[in-house]
Formats: sequence, structure tokens, C-alpha cells
Amino acid sequence: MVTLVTSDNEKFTADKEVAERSVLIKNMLEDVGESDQPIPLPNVSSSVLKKVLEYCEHHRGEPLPAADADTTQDDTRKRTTDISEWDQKFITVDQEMLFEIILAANYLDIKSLLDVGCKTVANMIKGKTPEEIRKLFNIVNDFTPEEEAQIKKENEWAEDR
Amino acid sequence: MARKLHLRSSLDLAGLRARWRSEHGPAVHSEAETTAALADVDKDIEDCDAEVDRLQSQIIFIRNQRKRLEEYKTCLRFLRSPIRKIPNETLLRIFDFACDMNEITSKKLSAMPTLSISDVCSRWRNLTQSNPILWSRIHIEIQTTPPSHSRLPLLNLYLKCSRNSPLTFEITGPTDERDLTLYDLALCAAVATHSNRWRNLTIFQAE
Repeated sequence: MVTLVTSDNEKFTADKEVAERSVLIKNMLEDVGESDQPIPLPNVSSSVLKKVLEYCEHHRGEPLPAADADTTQDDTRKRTTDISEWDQKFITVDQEMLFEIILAANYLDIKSLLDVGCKTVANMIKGKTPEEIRKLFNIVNDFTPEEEAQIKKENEWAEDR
Repeated sequence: MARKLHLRSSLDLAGLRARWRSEHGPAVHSEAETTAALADVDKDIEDCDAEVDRLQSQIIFIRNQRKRLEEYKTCLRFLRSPIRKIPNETLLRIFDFACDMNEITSKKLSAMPTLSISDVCSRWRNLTQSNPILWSRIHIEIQTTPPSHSRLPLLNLYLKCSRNSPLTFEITGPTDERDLTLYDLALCAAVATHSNRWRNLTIFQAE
């Protein structure tokens, strides 16, 4: 068993196999060797770690992606934003939690979870106009009048601009 | 803020009515009295109009303040918007998934995720423009009815922003080459010019 300590000082215990889905934790455990020392995770809060561990528990035993998977974007790599049913249910959370999970997956280096989060946000972006995207994520249009004029010119043809 | 309007006229309609009924012939009061009363009423009406103008400009001022507050609220919300915390490399990963294909012959901006994303805010624009791969996946549909605008400038924008990235094209064409318009031929010629960068070129025949 591995003990993890969150930013808000809560302790979680998890099976080594589950915790090691995080490459960060796996490397830490390898570095310290056999030890009962709790692993501090100062960038992850308890509510987020709870979700992350739920994900790792569900996917335990599945093969981990190769470390260089990112750099081998081959020609045939199918770009898909499909998400499995369980993952979809798992990631149906409010926007704040969704981005917290993405940040935690990034920090803990859990590629499959990072992809689930990124695909979910990508699906939210797809098929939307810039204004709809701004509204969805509370983003402010900060273009200068010159940039704004250029964008307007570029998009004269669009029915939904 | 509220200012009381002081009227000169008594507005005693009941009194006037009583006088209509009782004053006839010699009992009718002098013209001078009613002339003075009418002059007062005209001044009162002018005062009322001035007050309406004043209040209307105040309403406009308050409406403008409200609009500015709304804008301020949007900016404040943006400061705590969770997407701002996402680092650039992760945001690019999201964009990479979102920009899997750009339908550049569509009439809708929403069918071209890369362009749509680049028009959201300056950070997103800088990110998309510094990542040529996002502009490299292009779908062209050769339409049976010619488009109102040539899509060549748009295709050229994608080709320019994709810099030296390998290109993925999907082209849906008509069943008969006689259906091609000059617009379509120009698009096909531009695609052909970049043949040294083709990674994938898939041609579908329209049903």
C-alpha cells in the first residue's frame, strides 16, 4: 500500500498497482525504494485526488502507454475524440473540477486520464463559434481594435460569425 | 436624485367643473384671470418636459453604468476562469483534439475549429498561430451549387499558417468533372501546388 498526502493534508492509501498508474508516483517509489514514507502531493487537493484514484482503480491492470507515445505521432494515428462510456460518466463533472482533473493528470503524469480530460474539453469546443466558446469558458475578448478588424475581414464569409 | 416638481397651477379640476356649471352670462370671470392661469399651465408643461428630458438622460446614464458593470463582471469572472490555469502545452493538446478537421468550404466558422479557436482571445490566437499542425487538416467539399464567396483566401490562410507541416486533405467531389466550377478548380490547383507536403489525400465521391 502507498500513502499519499494531499495539499489540504488529507491522507489517502492506495494499492501500489493503482497509485503507480501515475508515472510521477511510480518514479518516486522507484527512487525511494521500499519505504512506508507518505508521498506528498502538494499540487493536488483531496477532492481531486479522490477522483483521480477512482479513475486509476477502474483502469488498474490496463497497459500503460509507452513513454515516447507523444513523439511518435505516425501518419496512421487516428485522431479521435471518442471517450469510453465509463470514462464519459466519470468525467461528467463541473468545469472547475474538469480542469482540476486535467491539471492533476498533467502533474501526476497519467496520460490516459489527461487525454480523457483534453478530449472532453475538445468536444466542448468543437462546433462552436468564437463567441460561444468565450461564453462557455468565461473568456474575455482581449483583441486590439486592429486585430479585431483583421479577424472581421478574415471572416466576412461566415454565416455564424 | 429625485427632485420634486413644483407646479404653479392648482390643477383643481373639480373647482373648474363647478364654475362651468355655475358661471354663466355676467357671472363669468374676467379673461385676464384665465390668461394668467393658462400662462402658468404652459410654464408647468415646459417644466414637466424639461424634467422628463432630465430623467431620460439619467436613465441612459444608469443603463450605460449597468453595461459597464456587466463588462466588468465578465472580466472578473475571466480572472477566476478555470481554463486560465491550464498550461500552454496542455491547451495545445486540447486544441489538437478539437482541430481534427476543418471544413473550409462550409459557410460556418464553427465547422473550422482552428480558425474558430484562433479568434477567441489573444492567448489562443498566439498558440494556434505558433502551431502549424493545427492548420494542416483540411476538408474541401466541391459543391454542386457554386459558393457565394471563393474559398481560396481561406484555403491559402490555412496553407500559410500550416507552414511546413505535412498536410492531410479530404476532398469530397462531384460524380462528374463537368460539375466543377472555376472556384473549385482554383482550390484544387492550390492543393496540387502543395503536393510536396501531402501526408494524406483522400478523395470521396459525393453520393
